[in-house]
Amino acid sequence: MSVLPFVVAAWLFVVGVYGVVTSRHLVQLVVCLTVAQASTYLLLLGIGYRHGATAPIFKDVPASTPVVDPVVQALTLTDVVVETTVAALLLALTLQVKRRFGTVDPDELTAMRD
Amino acid sequence: MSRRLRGLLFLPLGAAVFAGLVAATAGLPDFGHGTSEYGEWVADNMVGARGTTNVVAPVVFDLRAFDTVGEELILFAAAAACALLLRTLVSEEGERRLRELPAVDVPPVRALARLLVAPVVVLGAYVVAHGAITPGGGFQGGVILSSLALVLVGAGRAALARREGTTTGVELAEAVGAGAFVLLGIGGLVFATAAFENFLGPGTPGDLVSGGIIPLANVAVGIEVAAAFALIFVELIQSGAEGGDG
Repeated sequence: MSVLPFVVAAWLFVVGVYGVVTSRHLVQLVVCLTVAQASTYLLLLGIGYRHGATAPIFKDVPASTPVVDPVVQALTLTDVVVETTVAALLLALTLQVKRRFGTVDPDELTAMRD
Repeated sequence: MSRRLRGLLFLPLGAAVFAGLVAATAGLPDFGHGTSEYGEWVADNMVGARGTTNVVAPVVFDLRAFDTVGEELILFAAAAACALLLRTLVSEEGERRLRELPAVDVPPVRALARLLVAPVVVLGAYVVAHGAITPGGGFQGGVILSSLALVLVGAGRAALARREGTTTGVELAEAVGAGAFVLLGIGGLVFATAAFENFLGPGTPGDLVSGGIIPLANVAVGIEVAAAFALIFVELIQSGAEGGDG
């Protein structure tokens, strides 16, 4: 099935967001967000993939070898870095929330509704 | 709104988003036949024009270097924000407890961590240095190097992180790495015609020193990433240790 990777990417995104919506723990919420973000890697790499092509490294292969799209790989690198920084920042905020409110259950953070 | 209700409400919305995303990907080239003119051009020309055998590297550090500055500064800002958020948490009481906290001291873990120090440094430096030739580069190697912070904590050197000078040194390294990359960009303005123009010769593809400014950019980014992640790790560990019972 030639569209399967794209369907899986869409499914990962929706499942990740479902996890965020129904989360009962802020750390779990952050992990669910990273699942949703992982869909973008799959989509990007899926777009650039070519059957029978090798990695875009010409160290030991002749210059005429077919390679997968290097541009989406560079974009994925950017994506990974941004995801990890977002996760780190959210985990730091989670620690702050725990200290301030004594809970990490999003439903119990009623003070934020006021 | 209860969690259950939220989940139920999400189901039709999630299904709609899923259907929309799948419909949107229908217009993409079939999986396994993906190719773009930009990608083809990069794969065909960069080995000769930039002297890099890894053609992802010239996209990240040359053609799209301006994007990479933004990415690097995001990392810089996030590390600074983590430090800012977590340090305000450390009360005087917490500081005292932190100082009295026994260091991690499990003999097998300690022995293993000590054995790992040198290989981690060598592997990280290797991956950073060969970024223009083989898979790897500043980001990947920097993350490997930053794991040194975790290895050192495992080796019972947690006290090292608490010493005054250590975090200052790490912060300084982070600033130097970020600044060096920006300077490379300005170098393009000074020695060539545009920011981030590759103002050094391409060299021989496959040589350690090839690719013009790309290896230099890899080193700058490697230092920045290693320091930023080490800082994030240390701040998170310290904060966790400090609030041990909370």
